[in-house]
Amino acid sequence: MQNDPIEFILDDLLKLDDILGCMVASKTMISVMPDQNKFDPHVLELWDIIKRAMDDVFVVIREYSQTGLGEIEFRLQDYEVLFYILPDTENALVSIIPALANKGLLEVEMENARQEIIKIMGEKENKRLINA
Amino acid sequence: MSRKWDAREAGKEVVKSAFKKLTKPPSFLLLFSTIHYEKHGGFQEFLNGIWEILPNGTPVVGGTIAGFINSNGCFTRGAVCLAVSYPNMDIAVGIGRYTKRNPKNAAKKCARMIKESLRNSGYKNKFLFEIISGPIFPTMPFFGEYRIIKNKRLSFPFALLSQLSTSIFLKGAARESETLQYLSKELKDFYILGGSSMDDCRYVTNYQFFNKKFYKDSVLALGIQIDKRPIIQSGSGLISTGKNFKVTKDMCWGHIICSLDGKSAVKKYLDGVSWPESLLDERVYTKTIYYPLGSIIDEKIIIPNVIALFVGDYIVLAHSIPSKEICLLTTSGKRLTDAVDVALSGIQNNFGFGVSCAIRMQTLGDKINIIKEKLKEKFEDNFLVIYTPGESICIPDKNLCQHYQNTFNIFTFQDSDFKIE
Repeated sequence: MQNDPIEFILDDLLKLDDILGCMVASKTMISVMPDQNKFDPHVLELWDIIKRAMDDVFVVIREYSQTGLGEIEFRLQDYEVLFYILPDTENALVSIIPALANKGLLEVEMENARQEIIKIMGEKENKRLINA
Repeated sequence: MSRKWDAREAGKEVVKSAFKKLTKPPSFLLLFSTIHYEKHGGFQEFLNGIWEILPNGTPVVGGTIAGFINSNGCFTRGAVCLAVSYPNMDIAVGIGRYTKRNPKNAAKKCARMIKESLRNSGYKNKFLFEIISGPIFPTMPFFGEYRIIKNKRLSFPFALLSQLSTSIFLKGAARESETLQYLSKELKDFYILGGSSMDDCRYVTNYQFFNKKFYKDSVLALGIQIDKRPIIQSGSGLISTGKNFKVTKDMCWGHIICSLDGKSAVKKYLDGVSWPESLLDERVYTKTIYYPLGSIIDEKIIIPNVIALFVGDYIVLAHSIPSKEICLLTTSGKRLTDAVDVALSGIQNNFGFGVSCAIRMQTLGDKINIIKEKLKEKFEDNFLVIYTPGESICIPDKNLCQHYQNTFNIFTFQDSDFKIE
């Protein structure tokens, strides 16, 4: 059962044909991840190596997220992994897409998803401050 | 607009949201959606949703597009419409089918419907919005799934099969340039703005919406005679590299260039951009979008044309070349966004409807938001730009009528005060 509104956003992204897997993650943990059964099975087969490569990218994100790092991507075998960094955090919206996907069109929806996540995180933070 | 996934729900929502800003029922509705509803209920359900809300008899024209920009943002998934209510105009709609097989017949049928319906109109300003079924990559026996074909011996068989596939199976070249020329011949004094329907840049399928039904392989048009003067302004951000070629052989109604200056078209192109042949892999198209070809007309007008496919020695283009004189163009992300300023310059109006090339959206990715900001600054909340695989522009005063690619075009009525969703 979904409770986290961010999970709804990720589910929406996963409905796009070329988004094979997506999550909100940081170096230390995967914060929000949709049901992995919705991921492309080929991505799951390669998950261990993708995850290891992602961990290395998160080292860079941790280092530079405060200095305006916006996006990073890498290509691994037949896939590309896109990181849309959530500003002032070590978290990123991560999507795995086919290497030959029409990335430009997907980027438009990735950016929309990032903006929605930032908004939700801002609201959560405001609530936390009010309750504190 | 609607971002709902369910086709029927999205159809209902898109009209409901448009109606919020209208004080009277709409005179017409331009309706656009991304291809996603094909798998989420289908386009008939999408239209059924529209007509649950829309008053009977409202003219509807539209089709599937790669994406759109409005005041809410930039989207490559969802549905949007432009609903206009205005008393001082007459409206007509037209449709012609099988543009890929016989663009002349299709255009004539469509144009005659428009002419017939508007023949008693007293308004002198004439405007036409048209949407033509866009290109579809044909699936061919022996070629399998192709993004690039390196075998030079397959060049000619591919071109031949491509021509046959277009005529017989209606899969292949869209023949928009021909369709537009026949349309404008019939509707001489109309300002025309249009685009082609498409999917999410896979070029597998596309649909056109006409009143209560959806179609494939058709040209649709909405004709308006109105008391306000239409304005169409364009920008491309493409510049010539100074490298010019002569098309010495072409096929498939000018959609396939076989040779340039008597040599392999692909070899000449690679020499022009100074790329080694090893760059010719499936990712080459992420680079060629910065180096389109341009047909030169009367030594001054350049019609950009993006490379769709390399097949052996042949270059397959997204639309036909209107001239044998061509040049190599180039651009950058900054030039693409600056072109919007050129198109918007001098417009003193609070309403804009634009048609731009999906290649630009593909190239700019999420940076397309820069364009949204420029549009917002100019039109506040009253604008809609759709992204299609090609753009049709006819401006009778300038004796200009061409099907373009890789351009940004904005349309408005002089001194209009429309509010759009």
